[in-house]
Amino acid sequence: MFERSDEMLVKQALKGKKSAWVTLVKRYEKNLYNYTLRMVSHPEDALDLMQDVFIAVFRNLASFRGESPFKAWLFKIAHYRCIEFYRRKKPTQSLDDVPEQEEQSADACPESDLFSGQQANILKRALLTLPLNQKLVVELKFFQHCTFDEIAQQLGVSVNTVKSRLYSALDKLKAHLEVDHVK
Amino acid sequence: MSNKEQLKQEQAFADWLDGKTDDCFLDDESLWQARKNTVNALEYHVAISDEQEVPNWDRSRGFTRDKAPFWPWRGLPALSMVFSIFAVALVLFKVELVMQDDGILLSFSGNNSQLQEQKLLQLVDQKLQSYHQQQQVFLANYAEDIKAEQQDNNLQLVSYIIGAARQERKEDISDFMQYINAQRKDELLEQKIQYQQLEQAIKYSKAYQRENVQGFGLKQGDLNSTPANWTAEE
Repeated sequence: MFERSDEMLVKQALKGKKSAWVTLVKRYEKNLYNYTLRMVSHPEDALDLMQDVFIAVFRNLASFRGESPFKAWLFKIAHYRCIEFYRRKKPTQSLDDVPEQEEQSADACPESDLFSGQQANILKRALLTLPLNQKLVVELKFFQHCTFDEIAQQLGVSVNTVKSRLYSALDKLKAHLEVDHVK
Repeated sequence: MSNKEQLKQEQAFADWLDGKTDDCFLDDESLWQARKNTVNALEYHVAISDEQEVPNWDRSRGFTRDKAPFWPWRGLPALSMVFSIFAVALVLFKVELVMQDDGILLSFSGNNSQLQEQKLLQLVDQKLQSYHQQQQVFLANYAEDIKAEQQDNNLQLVSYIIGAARQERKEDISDFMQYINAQRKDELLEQKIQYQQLEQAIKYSKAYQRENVQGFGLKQGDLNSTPANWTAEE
């Protein structure tokens, strides 16, 4: 009924009010967890990454000016942490490279089975074929419902680059998704 | 397909993706139509995929309080609240605590203010009376002073007038006396002159008579003698 705004919760958290911070975390944890889960495709890694993002957000909370919505700011940090996660995990691999299919082993994990239904599994498998940069654009476009301008702003690249990555991603996904029955 | 047509389809596809248009019409066999189909399939899979619940985790992890609270006692907010309510009650019931010479007075609903007002009026009346009496005394003293000063001034004026009149009279009498004395001097001088004239006349008369005697043979020894019937002869 009286839902406090993100800005208000941020101010209270900065003043040391723990409950405000927990409220803020609860508001966005599900969204962020599913985002990290789609990005890293492993529940434990996703949880670690989500916690990592929240810690980074809290550390930088004082620098949040409220010029953009808190959610956008949160996901901007999440993108950077996600890229760092990938670079840490695969330091030799470029973000534009198609990942090796080692993620397949994650499917054997029972936690991963919980994550996926049959349809969701198709989507997950399709996303696994994308390089991180393309996966980020697909995530922002189809899961966060951002416009090209917003995606470009969040990732710090041009709109044309965003479009290029998205179209490449669509071309790759075409082969993995059951396109025909949704025409 | 021309490059222009390609760009047009690309723009239409991008607008559709951004939600600027409800649908985009593309060539059935074009690359953009294939991508549109992929987008539809992707959105379908996104729509049917359930969001996973977040496993339980410590949500306050990472929350660190940089600044230690100024007052470590946790009951301070409650105590503050109690005092705030107490203060509000004091204001609402108009509670007044008055320090007086003979003790402390605690009053409710502004009773003390009426009492204070009465006391204040009494005090003002008392002060006014005192001031009135004081002013009357001042006025009486002032009138007395004025009266005494007026009498003194009158006395000085009378003394001056009498003195001035006396001086004038003295001067007048002195002038008169001088005039009289001058008149007397003139008269004495005139008399002296008359006497001298008379003496001269007498001398002249005697000398005339002697010459006449010698001339008419009268004796020498008879010059100092007076005739027996001089008066008769005269």
